[in-house]
Amino acid sequence: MPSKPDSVELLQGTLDLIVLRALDTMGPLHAYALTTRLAQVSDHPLSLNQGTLYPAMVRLEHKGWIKGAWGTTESHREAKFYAITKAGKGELARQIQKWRRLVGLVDKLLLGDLPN
Amino acid sequence: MPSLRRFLRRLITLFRLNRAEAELSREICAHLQLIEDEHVARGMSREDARYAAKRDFGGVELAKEHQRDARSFRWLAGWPMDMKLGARMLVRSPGLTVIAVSALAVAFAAGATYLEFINGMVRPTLLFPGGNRLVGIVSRDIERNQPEPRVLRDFRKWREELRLIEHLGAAHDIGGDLTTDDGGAGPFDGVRISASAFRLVPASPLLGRPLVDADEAPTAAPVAVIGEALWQSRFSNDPQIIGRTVTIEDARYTLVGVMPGAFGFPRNQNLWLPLQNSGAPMTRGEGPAVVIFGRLIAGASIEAAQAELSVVSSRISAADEGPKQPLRPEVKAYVPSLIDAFSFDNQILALYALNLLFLALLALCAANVATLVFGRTVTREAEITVRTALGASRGRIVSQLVAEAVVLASIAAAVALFATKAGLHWVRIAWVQGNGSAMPFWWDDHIDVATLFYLAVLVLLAALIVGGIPGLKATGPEMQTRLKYAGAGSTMRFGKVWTSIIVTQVAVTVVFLLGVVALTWSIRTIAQTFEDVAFNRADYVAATVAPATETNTEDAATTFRRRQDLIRRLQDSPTVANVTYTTRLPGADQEGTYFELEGARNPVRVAHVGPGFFATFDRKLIAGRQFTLSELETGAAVAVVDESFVRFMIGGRPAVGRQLRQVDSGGNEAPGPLIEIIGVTADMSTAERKSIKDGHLYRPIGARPTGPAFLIVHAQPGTRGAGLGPVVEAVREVAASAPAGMRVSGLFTLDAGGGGDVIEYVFAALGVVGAVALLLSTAGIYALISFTLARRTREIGIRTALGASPRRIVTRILSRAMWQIGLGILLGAAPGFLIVGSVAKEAGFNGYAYGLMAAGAIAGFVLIVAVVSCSLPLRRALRIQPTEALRHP
Repeated sequence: MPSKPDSVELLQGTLDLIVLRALDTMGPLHAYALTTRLAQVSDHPLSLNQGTLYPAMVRLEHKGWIKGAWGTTESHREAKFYAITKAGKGELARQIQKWRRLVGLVDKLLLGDLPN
Repeated sequence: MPSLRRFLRRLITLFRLNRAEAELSREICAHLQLIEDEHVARGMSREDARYAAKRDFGGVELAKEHQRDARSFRWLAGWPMDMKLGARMLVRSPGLTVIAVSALAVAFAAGATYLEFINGMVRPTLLFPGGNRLVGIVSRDIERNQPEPRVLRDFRKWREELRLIEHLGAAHDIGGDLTTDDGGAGPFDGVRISASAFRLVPASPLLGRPLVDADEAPTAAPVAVIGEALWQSRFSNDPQIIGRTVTIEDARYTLVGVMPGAFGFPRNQNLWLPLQNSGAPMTRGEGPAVVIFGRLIAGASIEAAQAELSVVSSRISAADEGPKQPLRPEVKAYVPSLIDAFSFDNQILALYALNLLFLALLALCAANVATLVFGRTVTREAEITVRTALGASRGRIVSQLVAEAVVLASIAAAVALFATKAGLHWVRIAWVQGNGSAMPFWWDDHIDVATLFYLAVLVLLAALIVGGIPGLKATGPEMQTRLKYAGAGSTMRFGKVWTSIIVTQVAVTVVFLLGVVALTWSIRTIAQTFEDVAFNRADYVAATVAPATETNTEDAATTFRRRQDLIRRLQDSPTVANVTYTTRLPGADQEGTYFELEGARNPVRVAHVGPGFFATFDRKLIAGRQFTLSELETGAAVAVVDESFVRFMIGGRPAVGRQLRQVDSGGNEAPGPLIEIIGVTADMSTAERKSIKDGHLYRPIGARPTGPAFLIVHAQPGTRGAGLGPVVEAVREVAASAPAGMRVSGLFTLDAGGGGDVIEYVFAALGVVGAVALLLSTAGIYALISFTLARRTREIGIRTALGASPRRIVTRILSRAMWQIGLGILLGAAPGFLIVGSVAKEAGFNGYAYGLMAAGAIAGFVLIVAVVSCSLPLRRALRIQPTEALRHP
């Protein structure tokens, strides 16, 4: 079944990078805020479902890159806020660098002159 | 590092499942609440907002499932329930359970018994206090680069100077017979030993006292301590034996104590004499070969003791006058020090590497069981598909099958433990029969913790194969197809992996059964060689004649003279008809030695014989002459051969005067000197069929002057029968007063021998393994046919409804199975034919014909068993009613 024309499917392994980057720039966020902010920031709706997000948060927390703590939202509701850790910032820097190298390589292959 | 951290966190979460679950529910609840609030803020009613929130969120349960998978090892969390289910499955399929448990138990028991034996022999845990600090010192002559056990001189200095090893002692073997005052004589396993040994291994004497330091003084009265086994066999547990005297090595000793059976120090001895120190100066290399033992003082390490020993040893070497013989002594753990210590590590590696064979056996058995389990998994296809549709991950389903396999393998392990226990008992019997001595004192029949741990590892390994492979196959990429066409019938396939397993299994069974045939034939041939002799075994008594000490230095002429004297004295006895000696007992199985005669090289059985050999066995001379006494003494280059030798080596032509010489089978060494055949004697063997291996060549004993030989006494006609009691007595009497430097021991009548219990156990073990191999093949074929039927029930129904004949249906179903069985039989029969053929050839039969016959018979047998195993599911197939089959999903 073809996916919606506008939707973007995340490449495998990029969700961790996106979550870490979002928490790094926007500060501590709960899962709902993270989903909505990502949808707002990206021009294209990310096909990010909760069935993918929740395991990703556990994975990152287990690795020590983010840390979750219960807090209260502006609307006085309780929610679990995730913040990036120092180890997470280091990992983010590494992943960004890796990503750039990959993108550069793929761009080079796609945009460069292909041999006849 | 993050991966390890994650692994640990997942492991920890396993023990906090409730907490993690509550946390997840709370978080998702809060999440939904926030979405709901947003919808309400946009003007939706609370109730509508609640539904909308759930819609926006997506599958709550699915998200939870995925989070559960990520936060812990869920497949482990569900194991208690899976194992319960596994136990139920075992009860539901009793046939499979019995077959699988038998197959796995055989492999487990073989591996565990082997490991227990190796650990028990070379890496034992010495459980008595200080046992783990027991050490030995082994030495090496650096110049000659070989072990140097004659270190009594150095030992005396070590004992004075070493501080880190306490109770340092030495021991050397003694042999011969123990003669009691009533004239009874019999062998023993004894040592001369330092009294400190009795302080190293704590054991209270059953009677009297152990050896004490004072016994080592040169002026001390000669005393002896005996072991429980000797006390029972020679003194009938007489409580009054303390103070009695016995004769050992021509000297009289007073018995002062009886040690319990568990005390066999230094190895498996049952008689101890004090190692007396005369105080006379010694040179290095003088004295008997000794073992050195002691105990590290509390807190000292082997390395520290080694450092101290090296310093002391260098000092001793530096102080030596005359030619230096640098010695490199090493401190080792006690038991390894007794085994050839310098190549010990390599030996150990080789011994443990042999375990790979048992692992391979386990892998083979487990793969076979996996075939059966896969066959059963097909019947659970619907269950697996539904569970996948409900969100169960592939790992979860595979883990369930592995958990079920763990239950199965655990039962097999329990059975294997009993078999291992029995196996260890058998090891003890085989050891005692094979070596004629008790097991080493550190051996115990209990199963070690290490073996239990190993068994647990084997259980997991087997479970991974038995449950994992079928699980992965059943949940493979075709699962998506199955989900799409759920309900449209079975889609699982018996692919190439299973096909090759079944073919291999049938081939292995055929090879194995043919191997059993070959082995049985071999053992039978040895037994037959023993029986087919031209003399009455019951009329002969034999004993071992050997130099009294291991450090025999007497010349060949002296040995010959002493043996002649012994023969003369025995012949004086009215009970004795004839006496001789030989290096090989007639009718004993023996490897041939290669000889070259007129360009042809063949293996021949050789015996070095003493005077009167042919007369003792009533063997007439057919041509030529006998050995002269001078030829016998000097070991002249002459030989007497038998009729079989003439027939197979010379083609029946005249033999006397021909020359031959010993050659190395590989042709690496220079051939020996030419030997002339001087006579031909009648065959000793009465076997109906003979081959080149029955050819014998007799050489004068002088060609092998020293070393052990068998003394053989032929009883006078009047004294035959009833165990040759009077003859045995006569030999004992003469043996007790054997000339100094000669030891006569181990009396037996020539009809004693054969394999006894050991061969029975070997056959029993072969029988069990053979039965399991056959059972597995049969079950594998049965599983294949059942599987095929499960897949084709609907098709069979339709074909029957359309009027297909039962024969055509049977042919179609059987074709694939028969193809696999046929291929397996062909693959197995080829090597099996070679194995049986070579054994048949050895036994003097036509190897090609008998190999073919045996291979044909076994192939036929396996084929019949295979066809019978197919018949049950086939009958079921043919009874399928079309209407019923069409209803079949």
